[in-house]
Amino acid sequence: MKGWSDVHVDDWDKEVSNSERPVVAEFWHQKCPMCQEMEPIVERLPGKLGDKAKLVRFNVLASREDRVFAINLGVRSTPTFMILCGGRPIGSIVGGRDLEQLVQEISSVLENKDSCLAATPLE
Amino acid sequence: MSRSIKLYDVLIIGGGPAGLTAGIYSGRARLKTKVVAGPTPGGQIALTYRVDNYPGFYEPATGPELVEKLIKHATGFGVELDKREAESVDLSSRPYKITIGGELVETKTLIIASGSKNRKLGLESEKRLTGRGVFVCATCDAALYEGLRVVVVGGGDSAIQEALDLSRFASDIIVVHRGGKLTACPCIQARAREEPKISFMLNMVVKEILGEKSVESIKLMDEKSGEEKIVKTDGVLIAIGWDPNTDLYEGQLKLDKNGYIISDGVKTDKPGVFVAGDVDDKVYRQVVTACGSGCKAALEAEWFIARDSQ
Repeated sequence: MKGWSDVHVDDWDKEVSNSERPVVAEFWHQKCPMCQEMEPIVERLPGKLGDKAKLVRFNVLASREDRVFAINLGVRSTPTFMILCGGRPIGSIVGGRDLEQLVQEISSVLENKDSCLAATPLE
Repeated sequence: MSRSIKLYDVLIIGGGPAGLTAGIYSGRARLKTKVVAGPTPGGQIALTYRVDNYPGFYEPATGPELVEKLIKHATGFGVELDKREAESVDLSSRPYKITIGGELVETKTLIIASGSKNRKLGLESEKRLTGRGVFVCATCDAALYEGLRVVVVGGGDSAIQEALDLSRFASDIIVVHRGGKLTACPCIQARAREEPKISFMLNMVVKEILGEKSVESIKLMDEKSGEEKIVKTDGVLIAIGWDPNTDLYEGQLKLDKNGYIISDGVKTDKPGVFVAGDVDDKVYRQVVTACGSGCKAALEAEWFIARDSQ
């Protein structure tokens, strides 16, 4: 999907934890009806968020390792849109939203720079 | 002046087994037919892992496989499958007017097969923790409970089926039911009782779901003694029944106190408006009964159009 990169547990650190920008990670799977319903909205999200965040998609059913990783991150339902800074979750949006709502909720988490700074490990 | 509003013979709201079967019958009868299915057709059965009681499918199918076949069958007879939502319905005059994704269309007959939605406990904590440990669909989320404990609330067929579906992943499952006896059919109960991961707590009422960011435990009350207890859990699956999806018809069709459309068989009190499937079924709620009523509604629609044009 344009504007999104698919990530798995193996490249999570490289793509998410070490990202200089905040990351929005969508946890989804192919048998999830709400994920299918959200797909047209997810496709339009990059155009709306611009450079504010890097966007990655994580299929929780891609492998057992991926699933267990998502469980350990606290993902309990799909779709979950998790916002991470330096690999640490600073907020999440669970379930269906329309595009406007989703952009607004993600933006309000991203705009709270203090939580992003607090989440970033000190060098 | 050319007519810009599309007119259908049969418009079906709902893309589950009832709606798609109605589509098969009216499409086969060469009636101009549209099924308004929403973005994820299939209804409740699309959320079921295993269907082993649909006649002829002696090798169990998954719900989505059955739905795919029903869609191919209906569209094969020329039925339009519309993945938008029906937003409003005007039954004040004929042809009836339906708005779908902002587009107004008209129809000579309407079949309401809009199914049902999961009933809620009605707790604030249930709403707050939905998607954060509270869920309603094992097919959708069971894999995310691998190695975790889940409390299933309910004692009917779907609650026990959900518990069985969860047993593929969860470490242990506690079925909590407010009655003294499960109401699920003996066949499913027997499978659940043989599953070592599943245990039962009967005569228990859910008082609260506890947890700040995600579910941590559930507070239950023994209906007989009044004693309260807190059970640690990672998830709470709620399967306590359904309510019909009839919001669109409030004020236009007669509804009973539970929101069901008052009907006589598949007929409503409006000429040419019929009901089919779970939206009108308080008792059986099977795929095959939904298909059966979808067939009846489509035949009634066909006969109505024939009578009306005489």
